[in-house]
Amino acid sequence: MRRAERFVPWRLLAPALVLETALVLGPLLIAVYYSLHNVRFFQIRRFIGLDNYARVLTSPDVLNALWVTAVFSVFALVLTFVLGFALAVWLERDGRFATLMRAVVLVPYMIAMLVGSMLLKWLFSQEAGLSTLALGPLGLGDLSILAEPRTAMAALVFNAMWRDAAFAMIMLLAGLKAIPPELHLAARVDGASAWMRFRRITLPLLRIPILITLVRLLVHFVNILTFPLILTGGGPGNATEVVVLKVFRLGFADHVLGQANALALLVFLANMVLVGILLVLFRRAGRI
Amino acid sequence: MNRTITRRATLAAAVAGLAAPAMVGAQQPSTITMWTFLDPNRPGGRETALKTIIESFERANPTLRIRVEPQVWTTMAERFVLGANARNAPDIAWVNDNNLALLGASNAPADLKPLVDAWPAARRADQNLPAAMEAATQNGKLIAMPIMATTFVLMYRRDLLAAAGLTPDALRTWDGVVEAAKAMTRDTNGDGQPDIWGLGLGLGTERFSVTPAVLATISGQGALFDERCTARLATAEAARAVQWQADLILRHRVTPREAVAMTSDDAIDQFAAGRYAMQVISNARYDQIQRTAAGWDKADLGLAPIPGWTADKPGPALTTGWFAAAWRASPRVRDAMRFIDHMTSADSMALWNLPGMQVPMLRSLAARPEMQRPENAHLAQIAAFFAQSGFSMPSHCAWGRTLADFNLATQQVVLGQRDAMAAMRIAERASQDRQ
Repeated sequence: MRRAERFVPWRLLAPALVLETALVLGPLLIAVYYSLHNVRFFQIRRFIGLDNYARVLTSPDVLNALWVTAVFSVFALVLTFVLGFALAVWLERDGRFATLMRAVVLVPYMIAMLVGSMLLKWLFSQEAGLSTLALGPLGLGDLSILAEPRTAMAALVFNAMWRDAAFAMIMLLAGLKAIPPELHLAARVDGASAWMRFRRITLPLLRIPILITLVRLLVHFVNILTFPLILTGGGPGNATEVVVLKVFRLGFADHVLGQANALALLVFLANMVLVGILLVLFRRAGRI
Repeated sequence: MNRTITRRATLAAAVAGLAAPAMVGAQQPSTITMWTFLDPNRPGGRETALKTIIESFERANPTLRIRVEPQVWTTMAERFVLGANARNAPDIAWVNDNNLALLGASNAPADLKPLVDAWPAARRADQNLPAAMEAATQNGKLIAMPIMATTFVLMYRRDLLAAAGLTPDALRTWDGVVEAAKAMTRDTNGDGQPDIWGLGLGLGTERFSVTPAVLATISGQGALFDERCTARLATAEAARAVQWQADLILRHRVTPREAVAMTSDDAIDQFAAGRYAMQVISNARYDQIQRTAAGWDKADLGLAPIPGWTADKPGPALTTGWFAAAWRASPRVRDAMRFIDHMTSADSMALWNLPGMQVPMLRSLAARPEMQRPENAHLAQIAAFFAQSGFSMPSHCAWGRTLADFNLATQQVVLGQRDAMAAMRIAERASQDRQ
């Protein structure tokens, strides 16, 4: 290879590398710098080493936020995935009804997260919403969904499920459509039941779409801000204050940017671990 | 001949060409950029006032132009400070009271004290709200000039109060408020649930505002912070106030439990919708509530001063509002300061008052005949509250989110997670960590 040709790939990559450096690596390095300093009111005061990390990791509020994030992520992930999978299987066949229903299911995903969460807030409001109408006949007319820690968390999970099941459905539907119909036909000829075909054909061939969907949803839920910010405001009693909401408040409400960046970097590391898990799972699946 | 003319013409053209930019430069107005939440091109009393003020300034200063860049008010102060850090800030920015600590901790604001020092003695003596000026003074420097002052008042429904057989005198103490709230809480459709609650609260920790517990604590102990910004929240008075607030939901049942999940805006909407009989609200919302009053006559909206623990002393009229700051490093800082001075002159203050519908900031305005008209009575009333018990938070302390700490403490008591003192210890630590 001639010397000039050797640099062609680098020249082609250069614009992307410059952009990545400016928009990702640069801010990341600034975040690391801030996290090692006492930054108050947007003024960098002094170097304090790992004090910000120690403070956030020993803060009861942050530990609560990590727990809340874990609870929310697990419930939201399981329920969203199950609902999305069920919808994908139900709406796999092409027909007028299935097409219409796919469009209907997609509506929450198409509207802005903020708007969706505001709509649900109105829905769940005891004073102004429709929830009282639904809960009244069940003898729960005086229950305020957003005013109790457990039901507020349930509302948050519902928000995630309501919006993101459509994403799971799209991903899994694409996987289902990619399965050759001959496999199912052959299995049917051999006398396999619907359950057997689902277990032996559909599930194994959907392994990669399932993995992508699960990890994508998990990363999304771990980093969620809009749902709790709008729907529950992190309350009541910090019951729904997820870790990214805590970062947001530390940075933009409390103006302690050093701690906010330290926590944000820890969340970033958690995300890297999740991506690592994805890579390991892919390797095991023999796809990389 | 022709050649000579051509040379002369060429020379003249060259001179003209060189001189033209300088001449244009000399005549071209310098532009002062201002960030505010108001858009002078939109309808509204304050917008009209701002537009008129700008026009009069530009008439008096033909070489200066004011360009208003309307901003989202919630992030304006942060963006101003960040812009100043990046040396790219507007010449003037409006800042609200709970961002004065942020402003004071930055290098962004110019000291406006020389402006005030140059005022004639009569103008200084005419100031109706010295607390607002004090709030913006840090280390002897005036970091921003008060433009509009607002405070929190107890808004109530006159019709409901009268139907309960009570007069506004009953609302002079917090205990009186509880009794009035009990009398006004009603189940109008007989479903076992109140349809009108006695006292509305927004106790969320996002989009929060001043609640009775904050004001009752100030009433009880005088302040939330000492001079060195040490938070004083884990006190018997603060715990008493938070317990009192939680009891509105738990014991007296005059406030819906859902208040723990409501923002202050949610609660104000509910008040306007006729679901609450009383609520502590900023007077800046008076017009909005009258405009959106649903199911009740807007003329029934009454204002009472903040109650105290005892009838002999009203609670604090917490001075809040909007201030104008000039960017210290602006190349037009002197002109910017001149415009700020103009925005707070007697003529401009008269415009902020009417048609701006703001509380009169000058004694001379408070006394003018227009303030006696029924439609402006509430402004005169609020000016009287200020004069009676004006109180300003220490602006060098970061107290804005302390309001959310009170709300969180109340939530924890309502939910049975902690007792009031334990909840206020957490609130104190959170407030202290922000200093």
